[in-house]
Amino acid sequence: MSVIEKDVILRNSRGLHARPAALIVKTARMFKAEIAISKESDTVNGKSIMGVLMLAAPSGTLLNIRAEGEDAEEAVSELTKVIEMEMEY
Amino acid sequence: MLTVKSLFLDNRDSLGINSIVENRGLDRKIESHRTQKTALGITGLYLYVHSNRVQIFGNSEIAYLNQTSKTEQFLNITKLFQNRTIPCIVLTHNLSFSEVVEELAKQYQIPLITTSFTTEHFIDVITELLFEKFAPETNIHGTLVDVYGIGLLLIGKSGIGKSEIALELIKRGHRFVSDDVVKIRKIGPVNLYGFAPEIIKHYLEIRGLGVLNIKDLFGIVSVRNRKKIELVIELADWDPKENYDRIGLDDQFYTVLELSIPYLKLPLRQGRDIATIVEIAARNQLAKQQGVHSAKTFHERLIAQIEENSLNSEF
Repeated sequence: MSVIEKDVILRNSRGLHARPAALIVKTARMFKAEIAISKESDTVNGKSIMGVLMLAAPSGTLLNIRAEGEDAEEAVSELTKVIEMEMEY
Repeated sequence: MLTVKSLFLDNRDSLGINSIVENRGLDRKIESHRTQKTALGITGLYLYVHSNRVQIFGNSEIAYLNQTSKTEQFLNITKLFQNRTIPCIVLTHNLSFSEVVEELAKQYQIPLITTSFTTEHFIDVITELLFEKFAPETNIHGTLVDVYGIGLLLIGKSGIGKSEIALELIKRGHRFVSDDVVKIRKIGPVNLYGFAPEIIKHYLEIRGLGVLNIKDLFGIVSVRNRKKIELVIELADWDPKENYDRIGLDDQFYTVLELSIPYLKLPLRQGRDIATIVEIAARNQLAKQQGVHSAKTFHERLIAQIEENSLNSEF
């Protein structure tokens, strides 16, 4: 079982509002790995929309992604893309 | 970080605050959940006064100060303020600080606060508040519902159906606390309380419907702000190889913040009405809390029957 951890800065200019949060959760759910996302001391399940929404992270926040499972590496790399992306909305 | 300002101004009424006599130093930090009656600390024996604890003056401190000369007061209080980092001093019974204490507090920037409460009452209230402020806290991925007064935490992997079961329970009149993320605080030595993170309070997510406001849809009685957690139920996919508890004789526990909470694992399978099973689990937990243990009583009956059978077979 591999564990991959990475710090990523949230780039979306309006922060982690409902749509980007939904995109993160959708991406996380494509993988088998257990995914945790943390903002400072708050850690939530990356596959849970309410969890990710709860972070209420503004643009520029440092988020930590931690994935555990066979496809952890791929999960972290896909999630990094989403978190670092400027979204249209 | 807790400051004197945030503790006392946010809880003015519950702490019976009358006035802030000295407001310099309101940004001082409170770093202990304990308070201290200053007592001998004002007689020059500051050694046992703990820095970082809210200091409390009551009748005895004021009576002592009133019968000592100003010079003596000045020397003793100066010693205290110079040697200890006190966040603030609270005076109970609506009493007044002496001139010397007020003068020195101004100089050393130590907030002076008066309350109309008696010392015992004030200590009770502030201790409870501080316990809560300093309580260890964690987040759990799960859904918390109050079922017949039992705080029931549903856990299990994403997509297993925690929110759907919670929704069915709410529809049956049970009360919703938090969905998907539950903040858990250990208050006092044995109690765990769960509540919703402010931003998602009252909201529950159902795949296909989106985010729903339970309070708007079901009314004020369908929600509650926090609930003591008394039972953890893990929902799991039915695994024919796993040995699920068939009797219920051995109580299992789930550990959160170093405390053990009664725990059950419920396998999901088509045709099993999970909301009903969860309701019954809550009833069973209520019974256990009152000393009635279905499985144990059944087991005792069985043992008695076996003994009786073996006696009969001897003849």
